[in-house]
Amino acid sequence: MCGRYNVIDDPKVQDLLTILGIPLRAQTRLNIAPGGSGQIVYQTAQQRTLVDAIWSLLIERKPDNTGYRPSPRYSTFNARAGSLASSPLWKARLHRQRAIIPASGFHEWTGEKGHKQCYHIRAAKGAIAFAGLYELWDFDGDLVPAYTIITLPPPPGSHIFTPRACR
Amino acid sequence: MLSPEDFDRWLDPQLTNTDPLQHLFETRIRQPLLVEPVRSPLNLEPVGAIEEIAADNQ
Repeated sequence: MCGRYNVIDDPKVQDLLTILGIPLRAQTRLNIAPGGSGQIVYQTAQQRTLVDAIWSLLIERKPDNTGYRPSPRYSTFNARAGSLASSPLWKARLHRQRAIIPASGFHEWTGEKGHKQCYHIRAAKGAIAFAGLYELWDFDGDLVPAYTIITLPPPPGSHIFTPRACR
Repeated sequence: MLSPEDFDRWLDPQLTNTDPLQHLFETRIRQPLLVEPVRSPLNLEPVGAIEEIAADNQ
């Protein structure tokens, strides 16, 4: 799975946003985790937009009404590429609600529990543009963007990538 | 990970036939990657050498 990533407001991410036609700067955020707040780029018939969004597609109000959280019943921060065409959750959004998630790097861990090694994986050149899907949830007029990152099987022979690495 | 040449098609909400996007769902390293062991994702402090993973051939 793709479980953590980061965004650093540096020239690489600025270049990516420029290519995407976004006249804004990204906000530096380290260790973005499922349920946390990332930034996504999506497009409507009118424009492309960079917005804050919750990393998990299915979300709900927090019980104390202080915001929103991922649905505790489903894990929706990753969407396996192999299930995009079959899962009702992903299928409709694959057709018209695709997003790009700008990133500087992501993380994978190796080793046993208690002795895990964290790796920072980034592109040798430029920033990373993750493919994702999004939804704009309407909670009684409060429009809340949420997203998932699409994952692919790891490359054969890889000792770093987990079975559903960010791709 | 998407390449710049994929951006417009991927974001286009009018493109509802996803056949032109299917190649993006194949496992392939599209660009060289740097893998660096770090102490924590909170500070990205390096603790070892960087390994480069080459991109797959087109």
